[in-house]
Amino acid sequence: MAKKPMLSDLMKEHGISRRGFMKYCAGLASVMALSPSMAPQIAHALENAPRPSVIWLSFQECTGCTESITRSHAPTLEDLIFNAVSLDYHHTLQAASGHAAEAAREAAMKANYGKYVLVVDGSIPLDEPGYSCIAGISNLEMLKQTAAGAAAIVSVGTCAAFGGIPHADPNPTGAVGVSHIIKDKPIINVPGCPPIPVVMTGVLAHLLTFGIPDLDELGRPKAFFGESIHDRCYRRPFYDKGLFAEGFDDEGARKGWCLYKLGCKGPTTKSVCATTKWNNGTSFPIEAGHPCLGCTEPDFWDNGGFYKPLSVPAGDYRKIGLAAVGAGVAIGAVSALVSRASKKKAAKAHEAVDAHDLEKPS
Amino acid sequence: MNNPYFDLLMWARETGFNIALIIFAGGIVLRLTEILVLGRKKDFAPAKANGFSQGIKTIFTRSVPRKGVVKFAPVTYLGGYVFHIGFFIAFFFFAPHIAIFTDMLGLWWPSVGRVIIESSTALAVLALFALLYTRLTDPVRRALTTFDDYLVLLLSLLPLVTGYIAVNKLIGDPTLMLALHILSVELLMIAFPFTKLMHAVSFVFARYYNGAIQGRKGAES
Repeated sequence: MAKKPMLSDLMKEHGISRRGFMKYCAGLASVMALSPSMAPQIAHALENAPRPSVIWLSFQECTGCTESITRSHAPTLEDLIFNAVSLDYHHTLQAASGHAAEAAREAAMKANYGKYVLVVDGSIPLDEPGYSCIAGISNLEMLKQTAAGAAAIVSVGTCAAFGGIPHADPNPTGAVGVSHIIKDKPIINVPGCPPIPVVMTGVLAHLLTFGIPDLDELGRPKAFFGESIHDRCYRRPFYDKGLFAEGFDDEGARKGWCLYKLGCKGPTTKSVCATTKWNNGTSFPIEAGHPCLGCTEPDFWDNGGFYKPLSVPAGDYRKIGLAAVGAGVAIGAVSALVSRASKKKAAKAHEAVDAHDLEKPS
Repeated sequence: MNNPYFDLLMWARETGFNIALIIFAGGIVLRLTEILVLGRKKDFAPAKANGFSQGIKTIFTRSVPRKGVVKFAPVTYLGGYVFHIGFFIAFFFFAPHIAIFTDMLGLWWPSVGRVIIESSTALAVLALFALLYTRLTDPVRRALTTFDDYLVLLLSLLPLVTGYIAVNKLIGDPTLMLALHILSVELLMIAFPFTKLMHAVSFVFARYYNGAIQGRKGAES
């Protein structure tokens, strides 16, 4: 990638004032769940931090994550943060191709060994190396090579974090996430299909300013994945009142009632979608009238169907239930008939006893 | 990387539910078929009144306590009512529960808000503890209590408590608590046909038989 100017130069270039920059730093502090008093420190760190080399590897993916981060379009400050790093390798965004592109990756690795940040989007196929290759190098090999010299790894998107859609049953390529393979490097998972742009840039900003953020048990930054969407959803009052949309075009849907019954996974999905939202805070899926798919959670594709409510059984239970009822009738009838037969038998074997018999010595 | 809580939730919603459903539905039908096929001895005496209508009437009238018994055992009666009504509201009028019936049978009815659901749940739990207290403190009742009674009490308590915790996110991960709630219901389903819990279905038959027998003789039941 072409060498980028420093952040201060970019700010001037995009006509962003110092006040605007400070406002953004305060916003970042808020997004990262830091005290507002940390804003000047963030500003100082961003202005003075050396631009780390970033190598972005794309494996089994749809480029949605890159699309998402590039939708934080110029002249927004997210874009500036994105430019505060030296993006030395990225298939979609780099001008070079073929051998020249691979040479850029190798050069960046050599020049910044042990210091660069590795960003990965897409899952890695383990069944056959040939399922996904770049310049004749398998995804697995390229990940191992590049991760060896990385200071930290950011797994962007649910595919890189947890295997994502390629990992969905029956997982034909044996797809896994980065943390399944790399065990000796700090890994930050930023799941989402795709992740919210400001979450990605926020994580990069945290890496630049304060290092690795606090992570949950799934390796996700707690600042962005600490609370469920349900808890912060603007439709939550309707859930509490027992008002639900029953279909996508009914009265409840038009009135903006809760989408739980349409399969919303908000109660079990941790993300800041409901507060940070998308497209510069315009909206998020639930606001657009569609239930949450739960895309920041592992195996979201296989978690019981997008349009089945969380409380509803996920399997094909009807046939099983009918079979159980049939078996119950059959066993119950046989059992009752056996009881009747034994009752009849007992009645037949019954011997009349009178008072004299009772007085006989036994 | 897997989320073990999600894996547990999915097991509860799929394999666990299927196992519970087989035992629950199969067990109930088995026991009811037994009751119906065994039938009753034919009564050769001429009927003095309509046994059928008295039987149907008794199904409902037995839900009302006889005069004086509430005073005699207030905790048992009032606790029993509070528990049953509370459990009934929480189970049948909470929207996520109605969604199960909609998916299963295509039936739908309006849900009520969380205030009513949670109040009902809390009252049902308190009533269960009150019933347990009288069971433990009254020497006669204590002597009559079997392991089955304590088991049924615990199995009735768990779905109420885990459901309350899951909805209010009081402790633990919400996904884990939802999984535990569903699993606790599945335990209840498994025990249902083979314990006193079966009275939720068999009470109709028992009351009908009692009412019909007395009614045929021309007596009130």
